[in-house]
Amino acid sequence: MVVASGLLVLLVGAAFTVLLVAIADLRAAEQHAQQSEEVLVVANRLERFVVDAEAGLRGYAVTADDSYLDLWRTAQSAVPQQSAVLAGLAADNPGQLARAQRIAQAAKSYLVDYSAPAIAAARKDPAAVAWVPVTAEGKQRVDALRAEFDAFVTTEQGLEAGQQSHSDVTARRAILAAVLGSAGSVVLVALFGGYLSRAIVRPVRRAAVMAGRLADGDLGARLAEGGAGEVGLLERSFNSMAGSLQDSRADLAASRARLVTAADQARRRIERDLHDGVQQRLVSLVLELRAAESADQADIGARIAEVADGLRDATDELRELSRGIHPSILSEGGLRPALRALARRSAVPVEFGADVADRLPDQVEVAAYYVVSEALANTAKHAEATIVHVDVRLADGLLGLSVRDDGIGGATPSRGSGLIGLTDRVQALGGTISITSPRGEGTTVEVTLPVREG
Amino acid sequence: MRCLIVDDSPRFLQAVRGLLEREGVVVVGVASNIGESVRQAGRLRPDVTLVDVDLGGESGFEAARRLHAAAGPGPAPVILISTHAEEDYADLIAASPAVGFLPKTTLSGDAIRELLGSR
Repeated sequence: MVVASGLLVLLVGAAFTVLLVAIADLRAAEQHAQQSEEVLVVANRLERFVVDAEAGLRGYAVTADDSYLDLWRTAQSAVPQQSAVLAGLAADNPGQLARAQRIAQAAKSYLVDYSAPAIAAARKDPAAVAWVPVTAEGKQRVDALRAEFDAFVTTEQGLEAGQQSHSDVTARRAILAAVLGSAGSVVLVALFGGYLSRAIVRPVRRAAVMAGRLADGDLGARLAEGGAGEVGLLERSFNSMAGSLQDSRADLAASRARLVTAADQARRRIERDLHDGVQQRLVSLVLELRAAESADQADIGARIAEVADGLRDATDELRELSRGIHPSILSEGGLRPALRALARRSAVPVEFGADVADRLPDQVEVAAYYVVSEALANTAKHAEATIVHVDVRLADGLLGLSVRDDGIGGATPSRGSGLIGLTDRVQALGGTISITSPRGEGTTVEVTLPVREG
Repeated sequence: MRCLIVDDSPRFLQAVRGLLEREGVVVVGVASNIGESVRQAGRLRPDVTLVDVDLGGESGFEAARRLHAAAGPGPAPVILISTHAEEDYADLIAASPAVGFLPKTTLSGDAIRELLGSR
């Protein structure tokens, strides 16, 4: 990612640098071309002045008309000035400068050293005028000047052409840099896009698909881990989320199975208690009554009294059984009297404290009752305690129960099926249960149950 | 002694009526719910009313309160009866206007008289 970004920046930067250099080069070349053009213009103008001067001089020689010398006079003043301009423009090229100086020298020499004395002589002796311009010297001087001009112009044009081809090379280089830069950028952006798609878009899409499977109930769905950075974190978080969902569903299924099993076992126990206990007792009472039918008159009262006692015992037994199925005091009077009744029947003395509303939702009362009932039964059976503190408190929508004895401790929650049943019952109501039982320091069972009215 | 019995089991009403009549208690009326018991008590003015703790869908403790409230000054004493154990209901019995509790299996004329005499 970082490497790709760096490459992109480097490539674009290089392309821009080449372009900037090329633009600067082209601007310099353009200036140069402009200067060359000026040099050529000035050189032509200088040449024309000299040619005009020569033409004027020849006209004067043929006609002796002084007006022909106007051109010559113009050249007389313009040539030194234009020579200076030409020398100035050609200053940056030593060869051209030397040529320009030679041209200036020759032109000046033609005008001052040759034509001026010739004209002066002609004025003195008009008859001599006719030969003046056609002397071999004048022609020679002008031809030499022309040749010099041609050389200067040719050289200047050559220089300009060279400059032009250099500009062309620069322009081509700039175009190449622009093309390479754009193409490189496109390739890098494409690679970048591909990387993003592979490293981020696809994992996120896989995560979405997995979330869909989770939503459909397939809690075994997992992502292949191994993504870099945040994507890897996302994959791991998703997997651990799915893991804990799967675990808690398994826990839930197990606890539901235990609740069903517990209900089945309770029904079987009730059936056995009814059959083996009360029913057998009633059957034997029926047989005793049948026997009493044929008994002596004197004996009959005592036998009936015996049967009545047996029947009372049977009803006592039935009462205990029905209380085991559901404590009627709980539905009649609520948690506090029901817990007090439990405390009164407890084999270990109970110190009871309660700060609860008169009535709570049925399931909360039943759960709280069975928590205390089971805890008291365990205390009586295993703890060798001398006293049990039972405390029930309702605060902030939570019913808190605590059953604490001063027995031998060392109770293990996983051992007793009663405690597991209690845990399931409490968790089914969204409550919590904790059992602390350090050896030698008694056992404390603490339970909280959320209370939702209505 | 004139007695009103409130219980939702016709079989029990029949049995207890026979037992008490033989033991010299006059059963002037029976009722199976709170409304009926209050009407009977107002009409018959019994010396004592026996009320079952569990009246099907209704509570015997509620019946005791209503009978007490409806009778005005010097109401007839109420005795709660049940097949459940007295110790289960000790707190509720103590909090109710009933004068006492008798298990159904030990119910008799003498037991009623003894309970009323002891208070």
